[in-house]
Amino acid sequence: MIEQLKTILLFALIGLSLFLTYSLWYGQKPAELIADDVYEQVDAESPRPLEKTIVPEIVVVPVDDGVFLYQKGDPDFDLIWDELSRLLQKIDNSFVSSAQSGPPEDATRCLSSHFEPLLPVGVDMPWLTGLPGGAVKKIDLYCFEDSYWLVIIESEGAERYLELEEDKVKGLNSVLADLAGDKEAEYSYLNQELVLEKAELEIDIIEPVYVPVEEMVMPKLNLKAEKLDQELLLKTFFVDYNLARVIEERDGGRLYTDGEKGLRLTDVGFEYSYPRLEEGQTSASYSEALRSSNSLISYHGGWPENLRLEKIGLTSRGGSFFYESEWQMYYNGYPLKTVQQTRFSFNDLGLIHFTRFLFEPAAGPETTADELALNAEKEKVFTAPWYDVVSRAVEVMEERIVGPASRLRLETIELVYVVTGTKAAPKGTPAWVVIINGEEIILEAGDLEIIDEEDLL
Amino acid sequence: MNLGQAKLILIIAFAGLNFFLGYQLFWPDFGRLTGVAVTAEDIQVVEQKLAENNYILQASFDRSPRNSDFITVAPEWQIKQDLLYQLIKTGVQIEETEHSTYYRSEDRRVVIHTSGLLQVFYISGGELGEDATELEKNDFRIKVEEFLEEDGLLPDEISFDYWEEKEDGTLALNYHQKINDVPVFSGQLKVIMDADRILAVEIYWLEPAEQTPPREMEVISPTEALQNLVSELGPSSEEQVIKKIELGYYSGEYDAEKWEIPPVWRIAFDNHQHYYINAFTGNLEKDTVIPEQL
Repeated sequence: MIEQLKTILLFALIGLSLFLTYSLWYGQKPAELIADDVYEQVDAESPRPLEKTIVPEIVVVPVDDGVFLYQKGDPDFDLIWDELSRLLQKIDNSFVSSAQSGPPEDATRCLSSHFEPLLPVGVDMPWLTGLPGGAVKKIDLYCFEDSYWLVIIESEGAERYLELEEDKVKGLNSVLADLAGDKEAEYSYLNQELVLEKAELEIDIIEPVYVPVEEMVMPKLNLKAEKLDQELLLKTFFVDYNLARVIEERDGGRLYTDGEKGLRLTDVGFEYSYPRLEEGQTSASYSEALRSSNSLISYHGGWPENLRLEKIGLTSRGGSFFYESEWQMYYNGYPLKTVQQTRFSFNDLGLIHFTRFLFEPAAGPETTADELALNAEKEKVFTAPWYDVVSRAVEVMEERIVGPASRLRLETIELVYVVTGTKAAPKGTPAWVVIINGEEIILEAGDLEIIDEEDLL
Repeated sequence: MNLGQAKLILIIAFAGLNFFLGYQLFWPDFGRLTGVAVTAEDIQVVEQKLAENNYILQASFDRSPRNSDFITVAPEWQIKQDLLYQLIKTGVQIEETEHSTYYRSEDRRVVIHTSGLLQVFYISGGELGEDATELEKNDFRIKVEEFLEEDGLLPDEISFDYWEEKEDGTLALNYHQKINDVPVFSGQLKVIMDADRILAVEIYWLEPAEQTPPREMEVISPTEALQNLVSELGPSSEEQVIKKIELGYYSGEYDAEKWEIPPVWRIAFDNHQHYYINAFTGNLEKDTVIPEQL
């Protein structure tokens, strides 16, 4: 009997040891019963190099009496910037010296590029590595016979001159020559005299302002909201999004929160906040902030082709400092203006707030202006002349001014697409944006009817 | 060596092997095998930390390991609909603002907020009867519940929570909701009284909505919740007593279609102050983070 019991016990122990060995070998299911995808590798878009983050605000190429203007989102602009960027990367220490004299008086300006955000230069930067550091706000290229000079204006206003070898400018020259023949619209540099002559108005101008000489033709656009991968977004904002609860709002939006941070996803974008991080500080330099900004836009939703960094700067609130970065979508050289901006703020602790609302042409960003125009032949808008725009804007301003009128100061006049319509069927309407004394006035590009900011998406 | 001796040696060897394997497999979570998530040592540690910060623990709690899941809820509208039906039958004045609708009848004023909060104010007070003031607390409560039931204001799955005497002399009876027998602290019913009359009733009630895919997870222990609370609150200037710790569900009020609520440890102090520690994340539940539009 005892022997039989021993046998049974022995077999039971052998069976148990096999089971325990199996459990140990193949792993025990953890107590946190689920979360298959917790801490999953997030396959988000890689950040772009700095050369793609910082581009000039505009590139101005003087011709005869006027200028050609190249703006972000215009394929010609990209060609010029690629060459100019390459040229600035080729210049090493031996070329840059403030002691060198500038271009001769007879030299003509062949190209100007304005940088806002500023172009970071110096060691560890792709451009002008010979400079001691800092940032550049304008670069002019002067030509005289077969000689070329760069005039570099730093953020504090200091100027540096540099004579260039002809070889170095060859690429840029060739691009400019190729483009000159294709460019149709010529712009004028706007000054007080020109406004007085054409619009019969006395108004101060905050330079530089350029206006098209002739009327422009802009097709109305059918737009669509950027399509975001919502599951991927959740993974980029929450380390373990299983811990985030979902709130379904009455307007169809979905709010995810883990009690500390919140993400609201809507049909046209998202808003994110992590208020606790507001207490953090910022020690990043301008160039580090650019890199972080680059990473954040790529990681949280990706970086569409024509999305450009518009502004970046250090801001303070309640004793804490943080960087604020603003982005703008462009189409064919014109910004797609929305009332809900794409911008985010961050500090050493991480991302504090992020709002992202982007629209793109419904036919796809690769569709050319001609193709879109063909699709919408009747939807072309012939823009009103700039002097009528200035007169109309001044008229609107005078209606708005309450109290003693101060002298008017024109800060901006530019053509844009304003995003109007509904979230389901957004439209890109050609418009003029005029800023006088800090007041923004939006006018339809053709008939100069006022567009209320409330009508924008 | 005979066969018996050989078996004995093998039994001892396998017993040792099994002990070793079991140790390797279960030791980090050994408490789970014995059905205990909170050890006596854990309690000592947390009591000491609480005492250092001027908090006294006078609550008992469940020491077993627990799993939980989010529940999805939506505002409950049936009580409001029934009440409105009654009011409309007797005649009512209606006034609407962006977030609330006001109904005024002869004997009461009713406010329904878009968030789902219902407030009923009895203009001359809801009479509980002459003998109400002489009743024991429990009987008095039963009387109040009978009144509410008659008025259609007593929801199902209700659980009495606590009495509260206000500084202005009024008395409040607080109830909370239960869903599937689990406390849902967000769902609340408050009856405000003055001696033998009901002055007002506030109801914020929820109903279970369509469940999202299950995400059952183990919750943190009550001792961990207490530690987190003390870290969040810091030392208290005067002695405070923790009277109760229980597991339930809680979230703030949302003006939304439906939402998920996480499990929480509700920590109740003797002054009726309540704190809710998220039983998944261990964070103190505060106002919901609504993303800011920049």
